[in-house]
Amino acid sequence: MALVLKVDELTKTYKNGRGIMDISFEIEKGDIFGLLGPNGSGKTTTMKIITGLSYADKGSVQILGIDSLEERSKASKEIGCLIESPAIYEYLTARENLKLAANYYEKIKTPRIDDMLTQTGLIKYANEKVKNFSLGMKQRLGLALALVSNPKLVILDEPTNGLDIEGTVDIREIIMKQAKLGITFLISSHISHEIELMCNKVGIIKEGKLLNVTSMKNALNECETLEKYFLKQVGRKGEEV
Amino acid sequence: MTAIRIGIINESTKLFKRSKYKIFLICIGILSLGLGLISNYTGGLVNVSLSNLPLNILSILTTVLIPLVIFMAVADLFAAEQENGTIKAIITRPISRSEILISKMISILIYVISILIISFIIGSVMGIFFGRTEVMDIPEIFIAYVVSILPIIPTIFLSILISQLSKSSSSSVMLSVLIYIIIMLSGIIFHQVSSMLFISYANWYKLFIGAQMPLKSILVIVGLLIGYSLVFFSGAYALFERKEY
Repeated sequence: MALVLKVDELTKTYKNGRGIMDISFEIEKGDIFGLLGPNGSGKTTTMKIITGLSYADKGSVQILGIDSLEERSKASKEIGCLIESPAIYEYLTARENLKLAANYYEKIKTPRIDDMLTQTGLIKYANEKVKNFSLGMKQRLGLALALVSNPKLVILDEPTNGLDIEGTVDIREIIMKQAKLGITFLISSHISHEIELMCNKVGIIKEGKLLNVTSMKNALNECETLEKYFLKQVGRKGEEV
Repeated sequence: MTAIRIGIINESTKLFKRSKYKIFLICIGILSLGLGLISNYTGGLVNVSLSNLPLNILSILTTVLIPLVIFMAVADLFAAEQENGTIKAIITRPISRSEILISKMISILIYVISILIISFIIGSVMGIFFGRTEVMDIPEIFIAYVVSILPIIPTIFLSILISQLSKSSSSSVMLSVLIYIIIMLSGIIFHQVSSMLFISYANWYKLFIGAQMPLKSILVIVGLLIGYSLVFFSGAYALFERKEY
């Protein structure tokens, strides 16, 4: 399978001493890769460096063979992302927000915007200002913004954070549907159940270190649930450290 | 260039879609009308020498109102976006940080130019209507409005530089106003430095009015304004490029 993302020895240390250390993993085309770890484990930092929001002290990121740290603009054409909270302009409508994002891509026209609004269930509210949206609607718009450019790789940081059960299911369904269309995903979460339901590969991250990367099948074969697998990994590796 | 063009379209859309900037444009129109009426019915007693309405409106704009609107727009497009995280919507798109900075700067300049266009049209029409402006003076007035754009550029870059040092949009506006006042006062208090300050040339359009244009002075001022713009741009870019979100 073709490599979509290659992260090699990514290291970043913040002033408070926290950060990430030697994070390396690969994602192949069609994967839904889950980065599972507790809050503050380095998931968001890793994603921010991949998307160009932050800089690494060391290491490299390749997106479809393009060095993302050197040729950020070129690499950005291939990715869509939702990092932390959705980056949306509340004084604009949902359609206007998508239009602004779509402007950066020559091939993305109005039908794609409408398609995204339909797929995320926002077409009825397309011309409403985002400031009136609920948290779930904003999150769905954030997902639409990540997908609108027809990216090869979509990076989602805690996409279901703060959502109710229905909102969580909606987001998950959209991701699964897009994955079936061939889009590769990198998703972070601190909820093992979420990762278990969506992903085919999982990386366990704790205190800035990637402890293990395996297929979901292997993880569930080894332990009954991903939660148990996570605890086993964290416990065992913790003892070794 | 394509990325900058798209950036300008997006940033201008953001500015012109916001109610406060639409209202500000209307207020500028009302202000120009109001000054015209005051000028006509008080014979220039209430306001300062309103003999040439469009140029007096221009002086008020370039000295006070345009710097204020620049500080507000810069705070909204830089500091506020950094504060509420919407800057991520641009940083993660196929556009470099230098292109983002330039497109935001040009969008603010476009908004300022739209203020100047509104004032020029209303001021000129009213000036002619009330018999205070000659039709043959209009080309000269137009040149005055056009050249007034140049001293605005370093002010925008200075404000962008300040916004990169500010943690919130309100502190960006306050700091910009404070620094602007300090520079303005230093020009008034210390006359010897006045000629070296870019703010002193907000009304440099006066050099272009009259029978003879002091070409040497104009070139020196152009050089000074370009120099200030480059220094402020470099500082703002260095900080913006390094910033992590």
